[in-house]
Amino acid sequence: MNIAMVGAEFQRTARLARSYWLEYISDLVLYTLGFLLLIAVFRAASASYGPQGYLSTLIGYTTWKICASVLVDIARIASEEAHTGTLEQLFLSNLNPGLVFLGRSLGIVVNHGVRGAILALILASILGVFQPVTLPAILVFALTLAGAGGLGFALAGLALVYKRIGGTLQLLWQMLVFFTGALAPIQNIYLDALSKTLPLTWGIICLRELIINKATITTLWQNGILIRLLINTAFYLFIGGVLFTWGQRKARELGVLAHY
Amino acid sequence: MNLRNQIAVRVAQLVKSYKPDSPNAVDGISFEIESGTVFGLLGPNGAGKTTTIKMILGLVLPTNGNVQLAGFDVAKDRNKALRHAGAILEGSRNVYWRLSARANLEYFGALRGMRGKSLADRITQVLDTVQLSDRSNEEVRYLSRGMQQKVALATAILHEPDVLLLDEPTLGLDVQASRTIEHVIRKFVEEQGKAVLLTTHQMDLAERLSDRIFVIHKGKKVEEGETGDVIARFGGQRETMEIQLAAIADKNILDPILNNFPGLSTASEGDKTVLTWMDTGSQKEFLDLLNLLDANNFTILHAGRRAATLEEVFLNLTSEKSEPPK
Repeated sequence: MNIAMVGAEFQRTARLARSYWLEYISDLVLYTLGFLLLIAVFRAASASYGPQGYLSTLIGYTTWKICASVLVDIARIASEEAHTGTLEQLFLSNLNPGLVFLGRSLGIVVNHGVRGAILALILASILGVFQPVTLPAILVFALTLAGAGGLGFALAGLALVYKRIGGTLQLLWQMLVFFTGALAPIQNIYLDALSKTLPLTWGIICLRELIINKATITTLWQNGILIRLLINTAFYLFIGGVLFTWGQRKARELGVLAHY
Repeated sequence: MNLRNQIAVRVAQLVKSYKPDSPNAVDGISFEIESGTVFGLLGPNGAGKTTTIKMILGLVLPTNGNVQLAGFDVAKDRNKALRHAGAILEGSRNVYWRLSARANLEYFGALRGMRGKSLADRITQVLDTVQLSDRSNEEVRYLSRGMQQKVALATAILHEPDVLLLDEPTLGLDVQASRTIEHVIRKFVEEQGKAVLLTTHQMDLAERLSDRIFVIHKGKKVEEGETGDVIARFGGQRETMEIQLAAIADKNILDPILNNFPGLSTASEGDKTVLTWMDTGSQKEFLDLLNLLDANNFTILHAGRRAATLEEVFLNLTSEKSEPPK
């Protein structure tokens, strides 16, 4: 992957964003209203739910919105571009397809990152829980995002071969919001065990520790949360690399790169 | 790299089997494409043309056999080989419809390692070549089908490849757009000494452009050779007679006549009817046919012998009765 290619991806993303501006604004309005409704429900359910609770929910919600969107988009684009036919043209560049997809993923990250940041800014301002973004928080967020991207690559690999993964992505989208503790803590012991294997969960825990409890990176390392996040991210990156490599080879073997 | 008079593509014993219990999609074909030539890969639907092109580009992995592109083994050095190739793939969009032609070229140029002024200059040049300079900033989705295909062609030739693989490049295009694409292909081959592999169902286009043709049917080679030779070899064995009638013939009258003369086919050309007889019988039979037409009040504008066309040769080579060699 070279700088020019990444630049081209960013430029392509920005140009497409201009074409989809209405969808982006609708998305922003929908998720702003959705979050405010959620806060109202939580307040009605618990009298002790206050600004700290808002912030905790906002961290989970924003992390989920950005990371899950990136994950789903990486996988969706593989399937969508196979359908339209541009995927084969990407495979015709003299670069490794994995690197082309990595460049594409960076474009997706920037797209959802900017949209997520605007959403977070609006919500934090409305609720009066604005917090400065620190470098440790950015690093932890990047690790969380990398794990989600890894799972996105794994699903993209499967999408290259099996094509119709819309249902799986929808299910995953729901699972990540309800089973990662993004909105509310998970009480059930089995669901809690499941949540710890998903991407996002450890990242959300770390981010809450850093932003709400003002923990340091050293504290996170010492209490083992950060190492769990690292292991989780490494696992999903590995799975993503393996399945994407397998998927693109298998798709070429079956001759289904362009089939839907 | 100038590959003039060199072998641009070498395909050896190429086999593709998608399912173990089904016949091979491509079954042991071999050919070479010289630089400075257009190679017509012809065959009916499902013959294996697209699979062959995709195997040459490494988009489909062969079950057996070997492909060399610009001297590189595609199985081992695919990335190096692809630097020398451009392609339009059939049935695909090939480019992003929500980007303009120029933005597509900038994007795919960057993917090919082009940048800066050289990329900008080259984009101006290819847009001019495909006659799209004045529409280059419009999103591709708003362009006509012909213009969209021109964008795809511009993208394929942007990085000045040595080999261009075109799978049905003129499918669904109007005459003007087809002619532009034909002109670009000619220029690419004749002026720049590059190689083109072309698949098309438009036999007149294939006949005009191809230096050599390779006819494939059910994955197997049926015939290969210089276009003129193949037509002479397979068309020359037959007397092709053509009779032009002054109006669109009434089928109720014409069909019973046709039934008496096997091999006789009919087509409408504008307000005329053209009867073509490839497997012509004796001169007496031909005269009988003319008399019969005259007796049924058909006005005969023209009747005579002509050279067979590639289309007729192709139909003959790929008809069900002429199975590919086992």
